[in-house]
Amino acid sequence: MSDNGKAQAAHLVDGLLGDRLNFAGNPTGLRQAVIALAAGTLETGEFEQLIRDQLRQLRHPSSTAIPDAYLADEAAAEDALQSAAAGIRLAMAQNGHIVDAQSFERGAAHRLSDDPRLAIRAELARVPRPLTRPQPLQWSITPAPWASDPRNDTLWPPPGLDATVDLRSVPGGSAALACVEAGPHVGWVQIGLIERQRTPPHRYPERPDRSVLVGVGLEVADGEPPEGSLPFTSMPWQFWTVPWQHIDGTTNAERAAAALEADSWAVAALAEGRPGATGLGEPRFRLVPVLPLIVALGLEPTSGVCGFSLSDRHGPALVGRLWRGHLVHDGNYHPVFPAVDGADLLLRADLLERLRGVVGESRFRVGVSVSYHVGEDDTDTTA
Amino acid sequence: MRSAARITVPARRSTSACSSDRLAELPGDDPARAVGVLPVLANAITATYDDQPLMHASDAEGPEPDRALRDAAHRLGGEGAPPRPPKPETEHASRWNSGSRPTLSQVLHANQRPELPGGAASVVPAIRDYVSKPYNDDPASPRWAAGALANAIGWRLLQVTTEDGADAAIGLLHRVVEEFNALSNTAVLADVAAGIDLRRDDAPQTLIPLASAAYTLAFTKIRGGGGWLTFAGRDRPDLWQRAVALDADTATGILADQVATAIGGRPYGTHGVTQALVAAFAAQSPDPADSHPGSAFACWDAALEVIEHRLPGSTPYDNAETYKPTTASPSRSSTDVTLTRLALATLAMPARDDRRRALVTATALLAARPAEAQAAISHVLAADLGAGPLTWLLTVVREGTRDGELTDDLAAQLMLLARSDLLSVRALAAEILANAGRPIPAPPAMATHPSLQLALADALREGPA
Repeated sequence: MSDNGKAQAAHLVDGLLGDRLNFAGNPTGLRQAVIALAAGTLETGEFEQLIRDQLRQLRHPSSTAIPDAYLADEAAAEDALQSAAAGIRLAMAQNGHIVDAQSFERGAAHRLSDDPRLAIRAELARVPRPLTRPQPLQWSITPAPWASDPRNDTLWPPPGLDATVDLRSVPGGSAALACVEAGPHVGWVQIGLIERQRTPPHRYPERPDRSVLVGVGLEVADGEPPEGSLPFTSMPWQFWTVPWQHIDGTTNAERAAAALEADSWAVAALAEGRPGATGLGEPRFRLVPVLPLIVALGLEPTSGVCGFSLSDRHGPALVGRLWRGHLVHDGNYHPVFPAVDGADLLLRADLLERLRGVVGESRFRVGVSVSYHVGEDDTDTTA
Repeated sequence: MRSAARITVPARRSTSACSSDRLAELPGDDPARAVGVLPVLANAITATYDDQPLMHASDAEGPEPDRALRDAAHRLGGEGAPPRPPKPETEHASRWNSGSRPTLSQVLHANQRPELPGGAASVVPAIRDYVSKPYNDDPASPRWAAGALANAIGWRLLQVTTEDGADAAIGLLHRVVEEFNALSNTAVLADVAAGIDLRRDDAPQTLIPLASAAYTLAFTKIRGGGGWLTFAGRDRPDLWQRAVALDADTATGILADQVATAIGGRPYGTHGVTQALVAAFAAQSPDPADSHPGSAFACWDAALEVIEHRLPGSTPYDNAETYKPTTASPSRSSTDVTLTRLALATLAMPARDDRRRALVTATALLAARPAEAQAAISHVLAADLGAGPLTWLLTVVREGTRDGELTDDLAAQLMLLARSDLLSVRALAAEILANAGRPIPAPPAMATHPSLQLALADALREGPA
């Protein structure tokens, strides 16, 4: 095994599996074993042929972009991890430590396997891109308008953006929130929205990457939120799938209502990251309702096959939707990437009324954040 | 089952609406309704319309979701794709419209219709004039109006039919289609056929065969697949259906002649013909008395022989499963299992979104069609997919079989996987078996990698820090 192959394997394993190994407590010797096994695979002719075929299928010959795919190198690292980890129990036995086979392997697999549940839930929550958004953000409905003609720069930044880029909240209180106009959630209120529109750097004609980010979130506060802040907080995504009592046993309905009455809250939260990326990929944005909202409204995860949905005794009460699409490329035609990634939170209208009764209309704010960026480093050029 | 499989293929308006309609027709007590699968499927199908290029890419842009599809999605509890806002008007710097404005004489010419004498003799000049349109002329100019050309052809065909009979008119129709070149707007031929069809009751004996011939020739002259394929194929099976409904003998005779002409014509002129025939015969058998798509299968099987003949001597896939034409009609159940396997096969595609969609399909079918889903999954789990995809699929199986039973086939496959040399795979397989109350094999004692064994021995010798 060459040093170069080993260095490549180490880079791959640390990049793809480092977080997962850390989460599992870095079992002694496992990283070295995974690197050795992965390096062996990376040096085979079969691996070389497979990844070449995959890249040839997914991108234009002149493109150097990495397609959004689970390629042979990632698969080699995952196989190496699971193969090496399968030997831990015997290694322990050879050193005099006998463990219960089933329970040990189940525990080790829980910590070391690639958990696809969030990625699958997110795909189940995917909808065609909705146009629902507050009136001041209607300009953002056309996806990445500057992408359609690379020679035309009059559409960058998108017309209408200037009027909202300095806004921190939309006047009008909760009445400024957008409502769903058709479909199964007609009349429901959008209490959170985040969407990014982005195009990669373009070669001919040369143009840097560009992105626009819009965020809307219902907030509960006595005064105006601080300038430059996002109208979101952060929460674990598992509130969508696990009853809140299993995640936070210290709160209850009274405490939640008291917190909503007295404190300042962003009602929508960006889901927190988790250790270890999955080979299935995960959505760029996912919104979660904050704990006091879930508790105060008595919401539980919806049963059956669904995406992100919480229910009360009357049925579905709060849903999270995700979307992506409108594919763009960097001038090489392939691979293509979604120009738009977004998510929103919809609340049943009667529950907004109930929340208004707890919080008071005067404390509702519709927070907004609009920014745009040019260039690789995402530097905000709006200042 | 077919609707769930639709998730894993790109947007196509006709199949999307068809899939949604099939789902809406499910009976009220169908498990798919009870477990909440229908909104998920509706959303997954309509969301594929977002997977189309915003910038021009090497693939065609594809269809826009229409109102019928949106309504169908709403009936299923899905969101439905909203109407797309029109793209902003931009001046494209294309070489086709830069610095090449029509001259004054061009504009004057385009604004006058050609003078055509009456009778059959002026049909060909009318078409030659129409196909002579310069690329930079305004297509909305009177001279280039497709409706005017349809009238010029159609009324003269009726005149020839009245004066000389159907055979003479069909002969003229063949002359008409020969005048269109590959880049012409041949959709006018479908308009001509529809016009004759509208008036068929005036002289059924002559106009019905003529209308059938016009539909058939339109089907064979209109190009499919965005212009890349000979014959309209899957884009316009309605033309063939109507042709057979009017006069099957005329339609089949002309179609056979056109296939022979395509084969004897220019190189690559046959591209698309076989798939067009399969699509046409699947939509409508050439024998109106026989509703079974046997002719479509026969075309498929005949194509297989040619493909096999063209393939090089050996391929990396020689040991893989190969298609074998079947003679007996497959049962509904085996078709469902096969379609599920087909949808789940996208789990092996490299793109992450393909893999996710396969897992969504598995999730939906395990809830709504557990027997067929488990049969297909047991087959897919036997493939050498690697630790990642096997772990993902097994996670879906674990979540989807918590409250149900395992089929014996799936349990047998899980027994094999519970002795896999991949930790996550065997642990999950064992967990699923345990959840179903099935016996679990002892995990094998896997050979340990030397570096792991040495490191563990060192750590244990040194003891806890």
